[in-house]
Amino acid sequence: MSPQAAAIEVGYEFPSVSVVVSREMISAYAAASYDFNPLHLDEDWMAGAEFGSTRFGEVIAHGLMTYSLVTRMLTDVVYPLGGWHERCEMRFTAPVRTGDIVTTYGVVNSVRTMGAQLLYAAAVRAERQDATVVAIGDAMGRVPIGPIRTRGTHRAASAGGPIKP
Amino acid sequence: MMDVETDFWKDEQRRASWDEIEVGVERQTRPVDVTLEIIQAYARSIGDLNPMYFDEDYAKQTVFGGLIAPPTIHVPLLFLATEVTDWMKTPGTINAGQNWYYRRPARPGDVLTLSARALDKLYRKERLFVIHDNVFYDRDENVVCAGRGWTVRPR
Repeated sequence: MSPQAAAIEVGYEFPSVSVVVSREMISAYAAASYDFNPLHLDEDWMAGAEFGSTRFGEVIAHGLMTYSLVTRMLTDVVYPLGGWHERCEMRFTAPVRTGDIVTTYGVVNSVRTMGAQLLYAAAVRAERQDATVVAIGDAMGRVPIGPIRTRGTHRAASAGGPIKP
Repeated sequence: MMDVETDFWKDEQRRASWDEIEVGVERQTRPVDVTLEIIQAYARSIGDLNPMYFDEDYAKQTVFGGLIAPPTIHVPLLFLATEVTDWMKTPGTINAGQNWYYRRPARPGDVLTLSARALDKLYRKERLFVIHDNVFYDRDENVVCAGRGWTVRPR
């Protein structure tokens, strides 16, 4: 069931998005984002490449893939409400490798009325299966106050990602 | 997929190193046609089958009045808008963080122009950072979205 705009209040938790990151997913993301950095594609190079004192040892996922999964979590809720996803800020704090399960989280921590809309701020993050935070930040958006203006049936939630653990 | 260079090693020596990146100077970019193909391929790559990106009949009945792109469409648009010699394509460039403000949705049929530059650069804890800003404008020179990012430079 889709949430009502009235549900967006302090403490509201956005339904998580969770994906198993495969080599194929990273390659598909590289192709769709046109970001062909060898960090994400070149296993041989990544086996030995050093980045200061860091050696990843294998390809890593794009940080913006995680950022986009967090955004998807937010738009899954906000768009059916006739709202707007207005801003997102994230720091990437740990790598995501193939086989990792990435799960996104978002909790509304501030709301205020802005004209006919409710402006909200949410703390967002993404974690690996071992609870390591791989990305953390803040998001901001608006939803209309009062009757929902969309007429279509919300299908985004059921049409969510194909890859779930 | 559009016909673009997928081997980021190829032009590696032509790209600016951290020391050569000029703060405040506009990067060379070209306008990008936002197509349904780009939009839907990007949405699928993150498993996002929101009808706002796929179902025109549905989208027409929403506040948006038609199909739109996911907010994060700026990712492929940035790589399509920049030259093969752009330093964002240097192998080993690590994304440390991003923030984006979305003013209106990008839509199929938009032609967007990227204004991009390094705003600042710094050496911190043995790592070379560049802070960059990116603003996408539509044909009427209205802002579609604006972002700032931090990357760790490999050289």
